[in-house]
Amino acid sequence: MFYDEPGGLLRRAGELLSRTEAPDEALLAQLRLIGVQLKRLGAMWPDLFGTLDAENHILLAAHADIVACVPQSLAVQIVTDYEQPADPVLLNAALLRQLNDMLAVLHDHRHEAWGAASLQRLRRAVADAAVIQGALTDKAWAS
Amino acid sequence: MTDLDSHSTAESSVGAQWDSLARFLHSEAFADAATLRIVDVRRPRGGMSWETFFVLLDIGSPHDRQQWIAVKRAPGDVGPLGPYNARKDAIIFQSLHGHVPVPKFVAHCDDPDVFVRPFTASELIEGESDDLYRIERWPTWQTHRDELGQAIVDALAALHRFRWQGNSILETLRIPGSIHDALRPMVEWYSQPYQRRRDDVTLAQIFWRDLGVWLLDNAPEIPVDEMVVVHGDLRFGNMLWQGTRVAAIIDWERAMLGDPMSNLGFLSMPMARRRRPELMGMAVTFERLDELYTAALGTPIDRRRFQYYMIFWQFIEGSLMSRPTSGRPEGVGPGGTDLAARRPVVGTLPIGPTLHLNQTLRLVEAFENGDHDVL
Repeated sequence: MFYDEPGGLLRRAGELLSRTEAPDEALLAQLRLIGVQLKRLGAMWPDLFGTLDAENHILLAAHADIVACVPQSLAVQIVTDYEQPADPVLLNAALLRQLNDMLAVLHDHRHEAWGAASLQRLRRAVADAAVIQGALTDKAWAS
Repeated sequence: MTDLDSHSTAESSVGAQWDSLARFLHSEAFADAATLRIVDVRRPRGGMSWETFFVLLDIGSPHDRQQWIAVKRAPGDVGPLGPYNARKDAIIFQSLHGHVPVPKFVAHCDDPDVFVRPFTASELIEGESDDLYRIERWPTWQTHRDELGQAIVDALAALHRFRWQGNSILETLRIPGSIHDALRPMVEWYSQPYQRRRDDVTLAQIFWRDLGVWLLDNAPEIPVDEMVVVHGDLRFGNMLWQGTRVAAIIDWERAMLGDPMSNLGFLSMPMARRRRPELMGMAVTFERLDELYTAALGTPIDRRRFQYYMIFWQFIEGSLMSRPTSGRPEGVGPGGTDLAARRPVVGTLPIGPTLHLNQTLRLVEAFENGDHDVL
């Protein structure tokens, strides 16, 4: 998952850097990689949490709009989880999981008016979220 | 390669597998020679799926010469680019030889008793090859880029002029009923890892999953007779260069029959020109590509279909790179190596998938809006 990967990376980097053995070629390559990754993470950091909030806002709105569109008979199928965690990283994961679950149903019903509209709504949300996430990763590439 | 030492590392040519390979090549490719020995073996650097060996043969009377060949062996496991089909390479090389720059076929074998796994052997082409990451440092690219672009289009034109109808290439390439029918197996194969319900989903994964459906819904049809052989991996790294001439195009595992714009789409997809977005395939601008293509084949690039195939190949490559890494236990990095092991892997931030997503999204939106000038 995009927003919890930095934590795992930092942990793995820390474990590697705390090794006391004499570095061989493979370890040196990993150390160089850590340098690149930390530089990128540092470039993303100031906007990381704001982007996460903005992305969650987009996904929440899309989720609500799609749920409102779904015929009653399919509600059980499409709304697989009502849980909306307060923690923003967990919320992001939950929203992505729910939208991914919805996608299969929307694909099956994309030739019906409500299905087409809902799929369009989901695509719009993915596109909007991708743009703000892209602005964040652009900073990493540029660092 | 022009300089084997700088492109390969030495490998032992002693052992049962090499004896068996030599016997096979002697009987299948050089049956008239009194003797055949393998005298040197090298492994090229790089490569991610097939095992490739450069093998020096000492061929006895009446040939009395030494010849390097390239032996390409299917990998032990079926990786993301599988399933592997050595026979496909063999038929394609034989069918295209004389029409399109491909290495000359030497032998092919499906029997694992001969060389552990199925393999093809072809002549080793003398030439230079660089992947996209190093291309800007290649002196020929720096000084003769337009000529390289022209050579690529010439090779493509030869491929597009190749008449597959009634040709032996149909022993390995299926004639699809439609473009939709041609693309569906690939789209389904690359979408498959995204179909399973999972707890950890990324934005990019939702996008690729949805794009698979979008691609099949929007596949631009052309008459079957206008289809051509589509290479499926047409990148700088799969072209061997002699100066500014394409000496050979290699790696035809993903070849199929399809739209001629598919070859141009692969060459030009945004992923293949990230560092120089204005250069299609890191070679020439779109306007120049169109000019060269029109001059070579008499018809301009169809922008709508060209744009579609850039999206299609972004999907193939992007979905491959964003695949879920399911079942990764705690403490194991994205590379799959436990940190407690001798070879630790720290991993990388997942920023590539977001870039690929945005590159592709831009094209999808333009396609839907009918704005086919967006590249």
